Amino acid sequence: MRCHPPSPELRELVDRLLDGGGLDRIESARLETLITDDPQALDYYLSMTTQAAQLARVLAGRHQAKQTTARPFIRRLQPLATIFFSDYPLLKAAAMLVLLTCGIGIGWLLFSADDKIVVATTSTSLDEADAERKPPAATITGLLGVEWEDTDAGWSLDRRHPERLRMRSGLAELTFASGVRVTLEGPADFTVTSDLSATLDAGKLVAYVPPSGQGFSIDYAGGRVVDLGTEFAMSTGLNRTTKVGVYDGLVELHRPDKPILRVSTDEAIELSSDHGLNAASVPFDRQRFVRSIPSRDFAWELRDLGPQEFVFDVSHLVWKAGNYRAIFKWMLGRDGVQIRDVTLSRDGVPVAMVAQTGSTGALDNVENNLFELPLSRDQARRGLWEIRCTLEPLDRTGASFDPSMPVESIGMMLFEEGLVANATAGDFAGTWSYRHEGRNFQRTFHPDGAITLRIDGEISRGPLGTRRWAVEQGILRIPIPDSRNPSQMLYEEHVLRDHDTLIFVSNPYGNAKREP
Amino acid sequence: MWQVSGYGKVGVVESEQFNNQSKSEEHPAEISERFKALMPALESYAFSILADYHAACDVVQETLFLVWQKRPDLIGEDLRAYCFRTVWFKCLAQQRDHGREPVVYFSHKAMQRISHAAEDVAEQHEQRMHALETCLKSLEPKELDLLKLRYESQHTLKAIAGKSERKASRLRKSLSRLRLRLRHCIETTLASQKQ
Repeated sequence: MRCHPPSPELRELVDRLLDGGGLDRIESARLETLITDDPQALDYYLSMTTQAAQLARVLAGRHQAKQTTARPFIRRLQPLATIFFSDYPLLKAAAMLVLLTCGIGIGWLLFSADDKIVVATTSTSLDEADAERKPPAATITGLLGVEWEDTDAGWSLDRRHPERLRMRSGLAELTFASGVRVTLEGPADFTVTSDLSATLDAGKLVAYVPPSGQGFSIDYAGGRVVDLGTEFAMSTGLNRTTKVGVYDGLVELHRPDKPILRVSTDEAIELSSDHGLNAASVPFDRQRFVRSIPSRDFAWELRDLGPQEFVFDVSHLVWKAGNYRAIFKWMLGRDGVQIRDVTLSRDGVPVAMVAQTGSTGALDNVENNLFELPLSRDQARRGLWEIRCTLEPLDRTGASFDPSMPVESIGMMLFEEGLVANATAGDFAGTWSYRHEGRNFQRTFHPDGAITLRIDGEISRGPLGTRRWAVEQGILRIPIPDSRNPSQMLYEEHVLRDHDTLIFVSNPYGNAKREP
Repeated sequence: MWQVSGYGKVGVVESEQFNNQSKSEEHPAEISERFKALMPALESYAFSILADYHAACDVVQETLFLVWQKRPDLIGEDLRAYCFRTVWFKCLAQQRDHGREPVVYFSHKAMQRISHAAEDVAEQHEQRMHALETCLKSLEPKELDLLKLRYESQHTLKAIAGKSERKASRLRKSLSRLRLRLRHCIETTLASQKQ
């Protein structure tokens, strides 16, 4: 370690640390940049921190010169604790706590005459214990049309807390433990390095940074973006350029051997690797970036008799080949609805269509309301993607209400892909919570096929508790006897939007969330 | 030999200084002696990563306690390397869990970088300690008193200013100059020892 003089800024920051004042996130980010970009700065930092730790020990009289010859055994009952517990009262307390907690049965304990203790216990691996306690730096909280670079498996549980995401296409939303939310658009190569930092090797992203995430940084080829505000977009990898634009707030661009650039609201900067990361102001094309995972739910409403055609723009949801599903769900109103002519088209040309007529409404009116729309790799190109369909109120003959009343039916079309088509029983097993009409509901799908329903914490004695559930082709089905015709079975159906979101296909309830 | 992300070198370094391998016949007192010798280096290492002396001491305490607990499983292991590795994990946990308000917010990547470089420094910890003791002898009593207030008692600058009725800004400058002088003295001493 050589004795290079520090820059005034480095000296100031290190002094403030060593004076006991601490650094806030912005100052920390600055110090981090200095010591990671410049080996001499790191040398300085280490020489000063080592000196501080050694001063504390030397000045407190806790340092003894190292024995030059090996000492013989001290005495049999004066081992480890005798020596370092006197330096570390907390350690002694911790040892005692362990003994009190674990009991003598799992370890052994020796007391010397002067109340020194030695403890040895069987213990779990430190790594295992740490891993159990360790909260993930980031969690995938949304996926849309993702094709992974390294596997065709799609969504899987072990990807929920990823270190690295390599996507060919689609959108992934990551929520960091610091509260930062990143929406990543494929193709992309993104690595989570901590709850406040990541690396973008290729791809596009938008980062929303709440106050708890101030100082959040993203490394890119040759530099670093540090967020000082609330929301920014960046892209990198294409044509060896990196673009950074700010929706709101302020970010800093760090480049080696160049002054820091500050970019504020509505500004955008382009850095070219071919030109030594020189910066150029460019227009900020806000529409180029996806700021959040778009909704999959589309509302529809019928107020008239006769058929009506509906068109839903799903362009933002079609990113790749896959088994897409259109689910028509009734939510409110006296009328059931027939569904037919469901077509998925690109730029006005039908690409996938289903020769199926279904219906939705109250449970006894629900039949074939899930439409399969497979899309091959050849067909999956960007364009204007639309779901077209015809909806018509069901015949009112035999209805329990006055047939002269106006037509009323309100519902949603859910456009799904992924787990909706290939979920297994294991994906459904667990407890799911939802609210309906002001009450809390919990459905537990037990692995043995049993079902428990709790309403506001109390186990319901309704028919669901006696039924069994099963999964076929990604759909969980629960047979329930029709109360008006007990010999006939009705089916409650559920599908999964993702690992944590359960959709009621046949009931007018909002989506349920998985209980941890 | 360990391959641990963020912690590479100490896990594979063979150091003669601490007679690394834990032996089956080793008496607990011998191990405790080795722990005692390791403590200052571990504290410095942890302090470089966390920049918080109390947190660093806590981490070292927990580490030694855990390593002591696992002692029967560590026969044949490189104890020194194991201790450093454990400190690294404990530092990560300390930063992650925020048991106390952190004094600095380093990213995981920066902590890794510091950790790697701190391993090199730790290898000459004893020499640096001796050099520091020598250099301290060259200070004025007043200067030594100031250092004691800050480092022996671990008072913050604000608290020292309040106690000594001196301006915090002047104390800050004095401490900063003292640190630089000591650094220069230590590095010069180490360089002269190498020649």
